[in-house]
Order: sequence, then C-alpha cells, then structure tokens
Amino acid sequence: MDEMTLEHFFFSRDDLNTCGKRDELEKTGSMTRIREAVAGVARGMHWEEVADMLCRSVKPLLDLPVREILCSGWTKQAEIEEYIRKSARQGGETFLVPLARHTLRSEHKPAVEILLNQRSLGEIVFHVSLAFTIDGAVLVIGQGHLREAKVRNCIGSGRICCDQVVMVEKAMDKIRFPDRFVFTC
Amino acid sequence: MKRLSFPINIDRLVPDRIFIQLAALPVVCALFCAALSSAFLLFFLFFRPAANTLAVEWSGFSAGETAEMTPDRIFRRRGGLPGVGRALFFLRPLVSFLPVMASPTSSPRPASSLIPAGSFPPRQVVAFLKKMHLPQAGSDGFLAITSLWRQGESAHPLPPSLRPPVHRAGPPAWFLRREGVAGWLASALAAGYLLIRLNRMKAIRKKRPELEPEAKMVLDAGVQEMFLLEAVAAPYAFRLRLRKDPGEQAIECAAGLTGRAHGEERNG
Repeated sequence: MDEMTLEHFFFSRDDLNTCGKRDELEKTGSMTRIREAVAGVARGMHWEEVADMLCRSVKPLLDLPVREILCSGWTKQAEIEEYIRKSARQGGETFLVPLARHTLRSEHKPAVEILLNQRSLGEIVFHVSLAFTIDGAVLVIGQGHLREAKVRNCIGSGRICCDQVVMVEKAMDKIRFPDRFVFTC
Repeated sequence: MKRLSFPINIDRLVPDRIFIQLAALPVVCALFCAALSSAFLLFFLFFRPAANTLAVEWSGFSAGETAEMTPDRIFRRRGGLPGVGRALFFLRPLVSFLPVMASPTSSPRPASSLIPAGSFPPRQVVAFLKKMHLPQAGSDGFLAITSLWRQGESAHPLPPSLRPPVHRAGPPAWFLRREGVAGWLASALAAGYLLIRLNRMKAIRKKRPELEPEAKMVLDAGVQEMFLLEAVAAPYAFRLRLRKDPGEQAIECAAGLTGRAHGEERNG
C-alpha cells in the first residue's frame, strides 16, 4: 500500500476533479489578481489553461504524508518528549506508550506561485485544516526516537479553502490507517 | 478556439517553425502562379498579333507533316522531356494561359489540315513562295506563308483557305475558351482564398502570438519542498512554483496525552 498522504485523505484514487468549485475559486481575490496579471503581461494566453494548471497543482501541494503530521504532532508533546529523552539515556530500552483519546489538529498553508519568464505574477495560498481524533494508539519509543505507532481507531475530517472559499471538504469519517506507522523523524 | 479549416489543426499540432513553412508554401505557389499567368497575360495583350506565327515557329512543324501538333510532340521537338507536354496538356484547364496549349494553332489537329488537300497542293505553295523570294519556302511552307502574312506583304493575295486566322479585337481566343475561363476563375478564386487565409492566419497569430493551446506539464520532483510545473509555451516560460507546508500541529486531549496531565500543548 502506498503511503497515505493528504492527497489520499482528501481525494479518492480515481477522483480527477481536484477543483470541484472552480467557478467559485476563480471569483476569489487571489485568482482575480493573477488573472489580471496574466492578461496584462502575456497577451493571448488563455486563462483557461492557467486555471487548469492551478487546479491541477492542488494535488501535488497535498503530497505530504500523514505519518509525518502525526509524528510532528506527537513528538513535540511534553510527555512524549520526556519518554524520548529517557529512552536516549537508557540505551536499548524501549517504551510502549499508550495514548488516551485525543484530537490532533493540523493547519497547513501551501501556496502556488505563478512565474512568467522568471517574473512572479502572484501567489495563491490555500488553507488546509485537518483534525484527527485518535482513540487507542500505542507509541513505540526507543533509542531516543519515536520509532513506531499503532493506531486502533481514527476519525478524521478536513477542508481546503482559498480566500474563504471552501474548495474541498471531507466530512468526519473513519480513516483506515495502516497496521503500524514506522517513523524516521 | 477559431481555427483554420485545414485538414489538420495547424495551431494545435504543428510547432511555430513548421507552421511558418507550411504557411509559406502556398504563398510561394500563389506568387509563382500569379507571376506566370500575369506574364503570359501581358505578353498576349501586347504581342497578340504575332501569336500564331510564334506558335508555329516555336512548334517547328512543317506544313507537310501530318503529325498532330500535340503538346507532347511539340515539347519533344523542341528538346523538352517526353511526357511533359502531355502532362501539361492534361492540365490544360488549369494552365490554359500557356500559349502553345491553348492557342488555336496548337490544338491537337493535323497541321496539314490547314492546307486543304487538292485545292492548293504543296508544289504550288513552294512555287508561290519562290516567287516571293523567300529562301525558307522550300523547307517550311506553312511557316513561310504565315510569316509572310504577318509581315503584311499581302500584295499577292493568298487563297482564303491558306490565310491564317485573323485576330479580332478583344481578348484572345484561348482566353475565351471554356477551359481558359475556368482556369482563370479557379486561379482567381485560389488566390483570393489564400489571401483571405493568410490574412486570418496573421490576425490570429497576432492576437494570440505564441501560446501552444495545450500546455505541456513537466513535473520536476524538485528540491525538498519546492518543485516546478512548467508549461512549454515559447516564448513564455510559464511556471508554477509549489510550496508545500508541513504545517502546525496541536493536540487536544481531555486528560493528558498519556493520561497523566491535562491541557493542550501547541507546537510549531
């Protein structure tokens, strides 16, 4: 199984329409500014093609593994950091840390900058917000690192916005995580 | 997108350089045809009285020959490649402005038919021409008669059957022939069509100069968190720079993450 990314989280594998509300997106201030900039600099360039490319760029922007988000969220918690330090001090000892039910929220602001002949015409910033409610997870901590995690149940939701326009919204739903995550962070 | 009604969608399929070459080809052909036809038109407008003489001299056939003055034979006689004249003959509707093809003298009928047998035997022709002190009379009677007539030395009247056709005022006969008219009309229509097309091409390309309509996406799995999507649309180097964001995470839990503490901790 491929590693789960935000792209997989928001879009199914056969979902080609990454920009379901393109019309609304084009009415946003960012897109309007870029459209005017493109029309002013590159006369004759079809805006439709630029907008297509922008919409197609949403998926690559979401190429961020869920594993890294979870790792980043967990390892910076004070209790987990304490276990990590302890495992580093005690050498080969491994700690199995069960986690209580908790919600991990993550906010991302990926952006697309449009360059024409090395000149920036503008930038579109997307706002991605996620919420994972995790119930029954066990972390494996050893040798000063968070090494593995086993998650029993997870419910997730999320949305992608641009200038207050919700482009994609994923309702609260159960997420099928792999049996275990192996971390390198 | 407004496209030219060529068999292929040139703007979509063909790069700019080839497009220019394809566009130049009909221009060159049109210019060549226009120059050729204009030259012949001017020639016949100004030198029409000598047309028949010229045609006969050029053909090289003598009056005594019974061969048909087909274009192919004429071309061969003049040292041309075999088959060229025949090919031109079949293209006559399009190239009817060529003098040998379309002038009455060059029509594929026996040259000897111009001198009715019996009424004016060749021997009489030779004798008559000798009387006129024309040295070439013996070798090519018809040529000499025609030349004589053209030179205006008609003090010695020729029998009506020997007189070459007299041109009347107005367009040459070949121009009025059906094939000629069709050829001229076709040429004019083709030239007009090309001009209109070229104007439209120019207008379209001026309005939308260089962009290829289907921008080619090149994914460069680039450095760390940034990579490029590039549309090859010369001269525009059109790129999208994507910046991913690992984000900020926060954990909310009711009784501490491991059940030992309360609260929320936020990390950047």
